[in-house]
Amino acid sequence: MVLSAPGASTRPGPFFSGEVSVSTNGPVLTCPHCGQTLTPFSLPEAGGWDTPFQLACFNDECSYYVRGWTWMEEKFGAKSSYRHRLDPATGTASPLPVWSPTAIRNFILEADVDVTPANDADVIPGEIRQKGNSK
Amino acid sequence: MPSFVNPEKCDGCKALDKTACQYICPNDLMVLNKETMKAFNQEPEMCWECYNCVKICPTQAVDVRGYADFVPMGASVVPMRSTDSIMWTVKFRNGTIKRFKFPIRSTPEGQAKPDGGFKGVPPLAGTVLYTEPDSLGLPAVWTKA
Amino acid sequence: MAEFKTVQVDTDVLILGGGMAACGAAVEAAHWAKEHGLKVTLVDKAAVDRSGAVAMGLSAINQYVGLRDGQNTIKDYVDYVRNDLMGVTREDLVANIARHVDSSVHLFEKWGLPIWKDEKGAYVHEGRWQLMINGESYKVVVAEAAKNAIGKENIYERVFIVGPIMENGRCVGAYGFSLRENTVYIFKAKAVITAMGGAVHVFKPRSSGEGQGRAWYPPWNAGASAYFTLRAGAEMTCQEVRFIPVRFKDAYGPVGAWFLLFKSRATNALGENYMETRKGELENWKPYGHCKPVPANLRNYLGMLDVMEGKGPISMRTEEAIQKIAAGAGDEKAAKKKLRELESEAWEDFLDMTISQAILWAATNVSPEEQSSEIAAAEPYFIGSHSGASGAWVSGPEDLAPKEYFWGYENMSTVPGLFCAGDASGASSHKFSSGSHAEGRIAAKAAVRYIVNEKVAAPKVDAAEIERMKTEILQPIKTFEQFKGATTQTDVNPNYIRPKMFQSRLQKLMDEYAGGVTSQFTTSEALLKRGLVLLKFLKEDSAKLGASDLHELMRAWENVHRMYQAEAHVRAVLFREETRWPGYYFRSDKPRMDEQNWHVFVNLKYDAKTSEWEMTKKPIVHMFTKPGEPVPAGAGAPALAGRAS
Repeated sequence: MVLSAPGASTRPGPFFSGEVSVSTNGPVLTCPHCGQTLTPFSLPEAGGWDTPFQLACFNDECSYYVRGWTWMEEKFGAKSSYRHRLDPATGTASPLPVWSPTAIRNFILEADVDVTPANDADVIPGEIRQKGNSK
Repeated sequence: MPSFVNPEKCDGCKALDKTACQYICPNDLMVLNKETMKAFNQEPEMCWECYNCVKICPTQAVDVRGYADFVPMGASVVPMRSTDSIMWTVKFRNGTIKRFKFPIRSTPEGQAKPDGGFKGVPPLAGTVLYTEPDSLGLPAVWTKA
Repeated sequence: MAEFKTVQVDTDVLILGGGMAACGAAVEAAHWAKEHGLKVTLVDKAAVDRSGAVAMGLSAINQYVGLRDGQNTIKDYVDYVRNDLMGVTREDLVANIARHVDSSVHLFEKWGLPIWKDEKGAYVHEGRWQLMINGESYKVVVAEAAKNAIGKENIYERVFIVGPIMENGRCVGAYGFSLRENTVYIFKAKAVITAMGGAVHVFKPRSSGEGQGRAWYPPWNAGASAYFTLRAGAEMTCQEVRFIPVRFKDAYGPVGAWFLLFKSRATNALGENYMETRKGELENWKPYGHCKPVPANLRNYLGMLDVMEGKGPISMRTEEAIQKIAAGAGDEKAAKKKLRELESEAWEDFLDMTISQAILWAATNVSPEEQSSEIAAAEPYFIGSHSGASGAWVSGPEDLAPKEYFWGYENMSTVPGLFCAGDASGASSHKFSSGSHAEGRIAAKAAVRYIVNEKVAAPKVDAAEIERMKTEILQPIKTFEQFKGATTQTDVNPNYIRPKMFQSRLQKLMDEYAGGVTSQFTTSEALLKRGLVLLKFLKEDSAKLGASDLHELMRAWENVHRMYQAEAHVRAVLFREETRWPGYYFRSDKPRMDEQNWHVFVNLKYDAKTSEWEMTKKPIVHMFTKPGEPVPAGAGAPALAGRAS
């Protein structure tokens, strides 16, 4: 099964009329904290995202995730951590809250991610590029 | 009855003109009985159980008993609020006790600076609000192209 | 009757209300006022520290767009709101709030609200637009900034606002009374910002004893904004769009974290998920039925269909969600530890904003990891800041509003000098706490600009007018004093009606004729017209309200306010000849959505002199249509749902 993120190549940001492109030519998308491959997972319909999936690092040894447990407990009294999460539609990352090592694993999608590149010419493989006038 | 006052602990806020619970209740329910010098909830069926009276009482004299028309008896939820955190003690009808503690604010009381430390002083004309665009974290306020 | 003194307060910017929108207005107005030598006054019927809808705290911030991180665009938010409201929204107002809400949130953080974020400062989201917070003191920090901004000497607490002061069609102030002393207040101003919340208890609540206090939105939101703007003669909008929240039953605890964070599902008595089994129904509400996420009212409606067929109770499968998360935690000891941690999260969710739900779980010995909990539709609410849309019709901002929606100053109503924010302003749904605060800031800046640009003169209110207002305010007290001796029990007296019973009568008639809980949220032309007949009797009887003290005087006026909101609602539901929000109300005589004729706003005005109501349709102008996308005409085809693919 191949998933695509509709509109990922045509969505403009708030400050530029260019395009966000994500390329899968070459290495696949990886976690900036531990280098592991990012895994697609489906989103709850009520969450408000209109893309059907996002990507996250489900490596239980990822330093970002490991540090998160202590951080969240100390700062917010929360018994949770977070995983590195990437929105393929915008190319932006944000923490995905998880309450256990197994949380959200049942939403993982067994598939390759194929996101249509907007413009092949100067896209660097494996990297998120913002084209046009970035802020 | 939603919030209620324990007469053994209530001292009428030491005979001040109005009591702390009377000061804070958003629905004007808590009243001082001038004869007994104790506070009471004058309209329990308008009580939202917001717990502000409970939290503010200096002698912990106010408690909440869940609405009698749909809450079985025997449970209680008791807060202990400090300057930066709140601890909750939840007692179940079956005797189980749970305690939780959560942070409530990250700055010292009384010191919220209206500009939040942001440096945006725009003109009166136009769309940019005070502290913006700095407080937006953007170079400018969005407008339609 | 006791002697009441009269206090007149002269100010420039008058902020009515003390909630999120009012506190946003205070912070903004204070800055501009200082720059231009103006005075700002805020009036709250309670104590600003804990007044309004955020009195108890909140577990999440529900509007954060995240523009600085490039996570979302303004258009994304506008699309989401328009789709959720079945096409009926002022896109210019929503866009205006969306471009400013992030700065309110960043200010909250600086003021001291703990917002969950990672080690780099990136916010932790509950959903696309929602942030996790430790929100017990949310209102306290927001109020503190507002009080520090305008100064305690400019804040009047425990003063209840009854109605507007008008001068040649312009709003020049407000009149009210103290809840602590025998004092009538006359506030005179050059601009007035109304931010006094929405309306609760207009309909009969599900509970009939003490539990009446357990409304989903706080009972002290009693329709003051709606009454104020109606009496001022301002055009109102979306008075038919009430909101029905589906929450944990009776205590009305939040379900958002369960659906979004714990990925729970809800099933009926047969274990069926109505979002799946009833999916076909969404076809009848295209194109909105095809939107993602499914509009809240349609989500409601699918569950209501199960309930009406006797397939309840509907349960939130908390046990299933928690077990899934805890599964694979390791050995039994590790799993137990994990379960304890998860439930801590579930409890904080309640303790931060709906403590009653925690009490109910404790009293029924609920362990969410072992048993599910019932969810149900609540009674109807008027809440333009959330998923309802009712409020005053206000101007948009010059750079975003089409000409139909702009008349000089953003957030000014059709009455000069009268600005509206939060629940007081309509057709700009989904602002919640943060967006209401941002809207308060928007309205305040515009109000100061209005005063400066228009060189507004100080109002003149003559002594006779002040006497008239004072008499009006105090009438219920006078009535009670005059007639209380006619019976041996003050409750039952043929000469007056006490506010409690007045409220009961209003609630019963709304429940039975305007689609309340016992009517399964269904009404019709015949029922609505009967409701208007009964409202007319009630309105006449409002002249005979009797109040024994200041607290009861407030209740008397709150119920007059509710009554006006009720009548505006009934007339709007009657006027709109279709069903557009089946999960909020259903017209049995007009059971379908009619995009051809009713893709419009229903607006209305009340003439205080003639007591006449004027109903109008206004076109919905969509601002984000791109070439190639289907163009939504005023009364024609709807806007494109979601994003073009």
